[in-house]
Parts: sequence; C-alpha cells; structure tokens
Amino acid sequence: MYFQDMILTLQSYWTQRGCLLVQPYDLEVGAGTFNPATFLRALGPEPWKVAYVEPSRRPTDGRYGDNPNRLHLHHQFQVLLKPSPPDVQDIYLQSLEEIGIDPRKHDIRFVEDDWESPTLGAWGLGWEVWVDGMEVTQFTYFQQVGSLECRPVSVELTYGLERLAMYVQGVENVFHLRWNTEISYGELQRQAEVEWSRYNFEKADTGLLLRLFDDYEKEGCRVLEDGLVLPAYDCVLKCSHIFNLLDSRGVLSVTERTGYIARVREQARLVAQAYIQQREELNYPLLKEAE
Amino acid sequence: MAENFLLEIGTEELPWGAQEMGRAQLRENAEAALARHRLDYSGMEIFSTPRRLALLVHSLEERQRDKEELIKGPAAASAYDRKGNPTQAALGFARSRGVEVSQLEIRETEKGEFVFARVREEGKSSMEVLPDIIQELLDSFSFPKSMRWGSGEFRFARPIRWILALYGGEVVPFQLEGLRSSDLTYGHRFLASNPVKIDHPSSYLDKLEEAWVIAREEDRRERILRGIEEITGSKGVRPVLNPELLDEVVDLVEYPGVILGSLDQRFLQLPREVLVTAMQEHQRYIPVENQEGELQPFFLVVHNGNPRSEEVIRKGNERVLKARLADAEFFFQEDTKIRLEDRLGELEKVVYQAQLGTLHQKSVRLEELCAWLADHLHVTEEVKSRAVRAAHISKADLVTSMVIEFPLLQGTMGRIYALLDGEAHQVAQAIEEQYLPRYLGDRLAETMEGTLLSLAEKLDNLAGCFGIGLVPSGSMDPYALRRQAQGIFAHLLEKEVHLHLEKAAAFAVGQYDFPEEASIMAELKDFLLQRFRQYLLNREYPYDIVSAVLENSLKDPRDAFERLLALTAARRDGRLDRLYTAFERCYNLSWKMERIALEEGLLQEEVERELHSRVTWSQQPLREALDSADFSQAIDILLELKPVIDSLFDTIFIMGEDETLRKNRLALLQETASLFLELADLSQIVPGKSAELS
Repeated sequence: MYFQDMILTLQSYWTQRGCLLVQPYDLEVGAGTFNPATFLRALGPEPWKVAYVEPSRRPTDGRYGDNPNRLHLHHQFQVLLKPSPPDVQDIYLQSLEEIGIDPRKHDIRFVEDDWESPTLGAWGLGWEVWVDGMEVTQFTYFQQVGSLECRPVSVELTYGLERLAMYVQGVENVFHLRWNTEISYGELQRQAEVEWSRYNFEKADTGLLLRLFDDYEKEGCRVLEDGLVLPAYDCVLKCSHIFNLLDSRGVLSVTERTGYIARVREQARLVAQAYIQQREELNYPLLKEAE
Repeated sequence: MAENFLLEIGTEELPWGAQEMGRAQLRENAEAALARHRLDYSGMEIFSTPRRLALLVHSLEERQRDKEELIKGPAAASAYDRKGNPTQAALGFARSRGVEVSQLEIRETEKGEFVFARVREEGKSSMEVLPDIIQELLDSFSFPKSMRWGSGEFRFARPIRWILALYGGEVVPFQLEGLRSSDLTYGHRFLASNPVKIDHPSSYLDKLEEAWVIAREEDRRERILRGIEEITGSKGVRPVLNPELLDEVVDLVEYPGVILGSLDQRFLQLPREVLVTAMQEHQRYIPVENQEGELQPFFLVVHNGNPRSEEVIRKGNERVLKARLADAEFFFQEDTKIRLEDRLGELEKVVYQAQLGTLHQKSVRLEELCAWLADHLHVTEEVKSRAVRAAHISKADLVTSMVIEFPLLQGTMGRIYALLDGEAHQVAQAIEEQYLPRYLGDRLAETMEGTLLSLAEKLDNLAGCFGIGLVPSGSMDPYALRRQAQGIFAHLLEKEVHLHLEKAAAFAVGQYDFPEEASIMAELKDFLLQRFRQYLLNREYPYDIVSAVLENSLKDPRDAFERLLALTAARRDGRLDRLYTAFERCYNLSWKMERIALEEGLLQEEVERELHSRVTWSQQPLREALDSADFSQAIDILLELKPVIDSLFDTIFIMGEDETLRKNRLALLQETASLFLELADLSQIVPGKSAELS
C-alpha cells in the first residue's frame, strides 16, 4: 500500500465513523496535538470527532537525511474522539486491518505509556500500540489539557504514518517508502531533511529566535486581553516551535530550558481558559446540535 | 448452600504495575469487606491479566452470620421503680430497640448498673449483600496514576469495560456508571470468539483457557519459563534473566508464547551492557548467552500473538531490534570519536542542578573532594592520583549519545569509554562505581578509587541539595538523598573506612559559596545522624545500643559501628547488663549536677580511695584499648571496676550528712561514670534486653 493510499484509507475509515475531516494546521507544530482541532476542541463539554494528517516538525530529530529511521518532519494521522467511546480500541484495531495489518496474524500490544506534553500543560494515560515489537500508534485518554481537567475525556489516536508504512511496505529505510507508483519518500522529502537539519542545527539565527520568542509571547498576551483566543493560540504555537529550534541549536541550558517550557505552558493555560470561557458565552453551540 | 463467588473487572490493557498493585489490594480489600459483612468462606484466589482483575471466593456462605448486639440503655435505678416495675424510661428504650420490656437485662458497668437490650440482627442473603461489597471493592482501589474515561467520573488505572459477577450460577446485579454486571467475559482479543459466557465460577479458569487466556499469573510464568527452557536447552545456551523484567513480561501477555529471534553477528561487537540494555529497556527482550557467559546473536521474545504467526512476529521483532541496535552502534561509533577528556568543555554547558552550577563545576568539586578524602584516609599517592583523575572525567559520559539515549548506562559507559581512551582500569572502574549503590542491596565500589569517588559524589550531592534547601521531608525525597546517605554509611562500614564524616561534609559544603554555612551544616549533620541511626536499625541492631554509640558517630562511623558490635556481643554474654549496673549506680546519682573537682584528701574510707585509684589506673589501658579499637577489651577493663563500685555502694551511704564529704563522693562517682562514657553513652542502654536477642 502506497504512503498516500494509507492516508486515504485512514481518512475514509474515520470519516465513515462520523469523524469530521479537517486539514493540517497552517503553522509549524511538533505534533497533531498542537492543532487547535485537538488542543482547543478537547476542552469543555462539547462533543467532537475529528481526523486529519499533521506534518509534524521535531527539529532535534533531524539527521541530515542520513538515518533510515529518524526525520525532522514526519507525518501523523491524528484522530480525536470526545467523549471517548467504549469500543474505541476495537474501532482502532479495525483501522489497522484496513491498511493491511490483520491483528489476528500479528502480535499487537497495548504497552503502558503515560503521555505528557509539558509545553501544553497536557497529560493523559494510555499506551503505545506495538505491532510485532514496533510502536505504530500513541493512544491517549486526555486527563488535562492546557492545565485544565478534561470533562468529558477525549481519546487521542496518533498513528506514526512512516513507521506504519515501513511495516506495511516491508522496507527498512524510510526514504525507500513508495509515496505512490512514481515517487519515493526519499525523492519527495530527502532534500528537505538535509536542508532543515542544517538550518535547525547550524544556521538558524538564535538572536532572532530569542527575540521572536519574546515578541510572540507579548503579542499573545496582548491579543488575549482583547478576547482574541485563536490569534493568541497561534502565538503559543509560534513560541513552542521557536523554543524547539532554540533547543536544537543547543543554546539553552537546562535551567533556561525549563524556564522557556514554563512560559509556553503558562500561555497555553491562559488561552485554554479563555477558550472555555468563550465557548460558555457562546452557549456551547456544538452541545446543542448534539442534543 | 455455600457457593463460589466470582468477580471479574474487565479492563483495557492494565500496566504491569497496576496489576501487581491491583492484585494485592483486591485480596486485602476483599478479605476486609467479607469480614465486615459477616460472610464466611473457605478460600480466595486472585487473578489478573492485562485485561482483567479477578477475585474468586470459594464456598462463600449463603447468608451473613447473624449479629447479636448488647445496647446500653438508661441506668437501672431510673429504669425500674421501687417495686421493680419498669418506668417510662425503660419502656421507651425497649420500644426504640424493638424488644419486649421483659427482655431487658440489667448489667453491671464501671458506672454502675444499667439496662441493656439484646438486639439480634438476622443475616441477609449473600445475594443481597454482594452488590454493596462489589461497590466497596471497586471504590477501594488506589493507584499512583488513575484516570477517568468517556463522560464518567469513576477513576481506575485504565477504563473498565465489563464486570462479570456470579454467585453460583447467578449474576450478581450491579452497575457502575451505567455498565451492568453480567455472566460474560472476554477471551484473547484476537484469538477467541468473544464474548465468552461463564456458567459457574468454578468453570472460569477453564473457559478462559479455551479462549486463549491464562488468568493465573503463576501459570503464565511457568509457561514462559518452560518456553524459554525448550528453546535455550536445545541450543545449549541460557537466558540472561532479569527477575523484574520477567515479572513484567508475565503481566504483559494473556497467552504467552516464546520466540527465538536472531541478530546480526556484527552487533556483538557492542559492549554487553549496551546490548542488554537495548534489548531489555525498550523492547522487553531477553538476551541469550552461552555457558561461558558470552552474549549470543539471539534474543527471546515473549509474545501474545497467534502461535501460527510466529514467523511473522519473529521477523517483525528482528527488524525492530536491528533498527535499535543500528542506532546504538551509530552512537557508540560517534561517541568513541571524542575522548572523555575532550568532552569537558561540553560539560560547561550542561547544568547539573539549577543554582548548583554546571556538570563541569561539579567534576571540579569532585576532584577537590577526592583529593581531600585521599589525604584524610591516608591512601597511597597512586590511589589518590587515580581517584582524582577519575573525578576529573567522571561526568563526561553524561553528554555522550549513548547515555542520553539510555540514561541507565551512566557510569557504565564512562567505564567503557575510559578504557578505550587508555585510562588506568582503576580509573575506569571508579567512574562506574561512583553511582554505587544504585538501589537497596546493590553492590558497593570494589576499588579504593571508586570508594573515594562514590563518597565524594554523594557528599557533594548532599552538600549541594542541603545548601539550596532541597531537604527530604516525609515521604518526599526527589533527589534520593536518603539513599545517598545510606550509600555513604554502607561504604564506610563495609569497606572499614575510618573517615571523619563531619569534617568531610563540612569540606563538601565549604566548596559551594553558601551564605548560611553553619546552619546548613547543622541541618546536614542532623540528617546524617538520623540516616545512620536508620541504617543501623534496618540491620536490626538493638535500638538502645544504636543510641548509645550514635552521639559522636560522625567523627568516625566505622569506629561507632565497632563499638556497637562489641556492645551487642557483650549483651549476648551478659557483660553488658553488668557493665550497665556498675555505670548507672555512679551515673544516676552524680551526673545531673555540675561537675565537681575531686579532692583526694577528702576520700575518707578505704573503699573510696580504692575506687579512685582503680579509676586512675584504668585510664591508661582503657585509652589504649579504645585507640586500638579493641572495644571488648575496653568493656572488660571497665567491668573490673564493678566489684569496687558495688562494695562502695554496699558499705557507704553516699548522700551522707556532711556536705563537703558528700560532694567529694559525688565527684568520685562523676569521675567513674565519665570513664564509662568514653566507651559509649551507656545511659541509653535499656537493661535486661538480652532476652530479646535471638
């Protein structure tokens, strides 16, 4: 199964099960969780079911296109279901079958994993899903997001598309994946890996980044005072990504690192609070539709 | 008729720790609940797999035991009039308790005679009580990490998806947030046709086994061990079994199978520790070695899949391990391009602890501390220079890729890389030994260099953390300072190292520039004393003897320990009680007052002069015995004073009329007592404890 067919299959599988299909967010994010379709929608009482692909940037994971398993940018297929349905594990396992992994013919395990995102002030309990020893999905019941309790609880499924595709296509090097009949993953992405690794590790202007962090932080606080929740959240995402770049440039000491994480988390908390308040003032529109 | 009771809490995959804790809590809470509800039974079994926690109670009685209770009413005097007829008070009491007034009993209590009603409560049927018990059991679990799911508020380690509750052949009706109990369970997620109906609790295990689930933990363990044995036995190799990993693996599967995977021979060039950690840590694989203890290019996987798909599962796992080992190989090659020595610059960029500087500063402090310890412990120049060298590069492995990937290998990679750099083997070994002991009962440093570095590392951690107020309190000890203190005492005692710990700690504190050094030291000293006491008590030395040697123990813990051993031995052979009697006669009478100077001329009686001269004569040999750490000899020297002390007390009235003479006699007693106190603070001894010793 080609990489793009896997995306199509998962999209059609989850939309048939009532998920809204949305698109990747148009800012740099480290994971699908950062997309407001997850971070904000996981908050508050309104029901929500969504699926989307999220190209996710992890500057420190870049390896100049040399490592067969590590990438600065990988693709996640993200599903969020709120409230978490009782048969979510079965529905998930069936999706694996759709992309060619028959659970009856493999060793599939739910291996304890307590997920935590310090920058988002989010944590949950769940598992890594293993297929014959390989982690292919992160499966999490959100308990807190933006430092606020989740009621009801959402379940987040994050498929690592490259890992899954490597398994399904039986290749040992991510760049050998077939994206479609014509083009390989390497042909499409390798140059990007080389350039971004150079930029992230060597070239990014750290002075600029430090200034940008401060500026976006200020901007976020400023617009939040005007009740502009979504623009303020974009500032959180900007800060989070800039922090990741600073981290990969290796200019943050451990103490500073902790400080920056705390600053992003605090901003995320303020946005989460403002979002909840806004939804309440709007009288939870999605809650009414559901009833 | 008594019937078996079965409760199965069906869950999404429970982590190993939650199962372990869940089993223990379920047993304890079920025993308590059944006792509280007056339900008798013949036995109890607990089962768990990743998808269930289950309780099977054998022969649970059909009804609760009846309850009879005596309830106290009004005083007898006000319950009956003079003719013996019941008053309103008695009538009211009887009515309120539902008994006839004629059935009231009069009983004597501490406060006089009172009227009592004997109230019988008939036991309810088990079927009626069990729903409450199930609720209590579910509510009584407590996991370190628990969660909510869906729209519910109930918390558990992972979501509960079904509840099976059977008493005999009947379902015990119960509901948890809309989830109803039934007689249905679920077998293996992929291999069974689900759900599975259970007709009777006694068929539970068999039905589950038919559905590819081995519910009893010991049975899974046995199956795994047998599987391992079958594979390794036929190949003449043996598994590298880590007991904790085995415990975990047993609880990660419902129907275990064991597969032998292989790996590329070239990976065997990696250090053994790296291979073992890469296999165990992330993948829970079991490494394999030959009879000579050399790792073989194989590994064992305990899987939960279809036995018919073992080929697919094996290949999948081989691929995963290959990728992991290729990573490790890459790290190893990259790491060995840079000598540890040349990484010191990198250490300047890494903060060891906010407020306590960088790792580089830490290794400089460790060098100084090692040198100080070497001088005070009078080790050879070679040992000193190697210990200082080890301290110099002690933290360099923390910035290697391998340790960043596998933090458990800290120190170990330091040793391996140091050897490759051509460092002396004692230097390499000391780098690894600095973190010993890592847990209770772990090994200690073998080399003197490692002992010095291990002491230095712990002293510096304690000094730094106390300096910035990160002091353990209650159950909170995030920097494991208690364990580190225990590690210090373990080394000093077991390696027979005589160290002035207080001075060493002061030197360690002094290396930082803390403003309130005196109060930090006071706190640290107090902490060390407490930890030393605890260390000795954990080894089951009598608490009174521990107290007797504790006070000055930080001057030389090993010395204090030897005093403790001598006193403990003296208790066994009865000398301690005699020593104590002699001591306390002098001490009790004289010690609470000011010290008085003795005037020999005022010693009137022969026996007084005798004691004084014996005390004077004993001082020299006592000091010699103490200085040569022959504490048993010291006890004997002191015991020789006992007959004279006894005869003094038998023949003389110490607290006589004449104040001058009385004071002088007290001075004599003080002089004698202080001689005893040079051995230990014998006032802490509780006499007659010898019987408690086995």
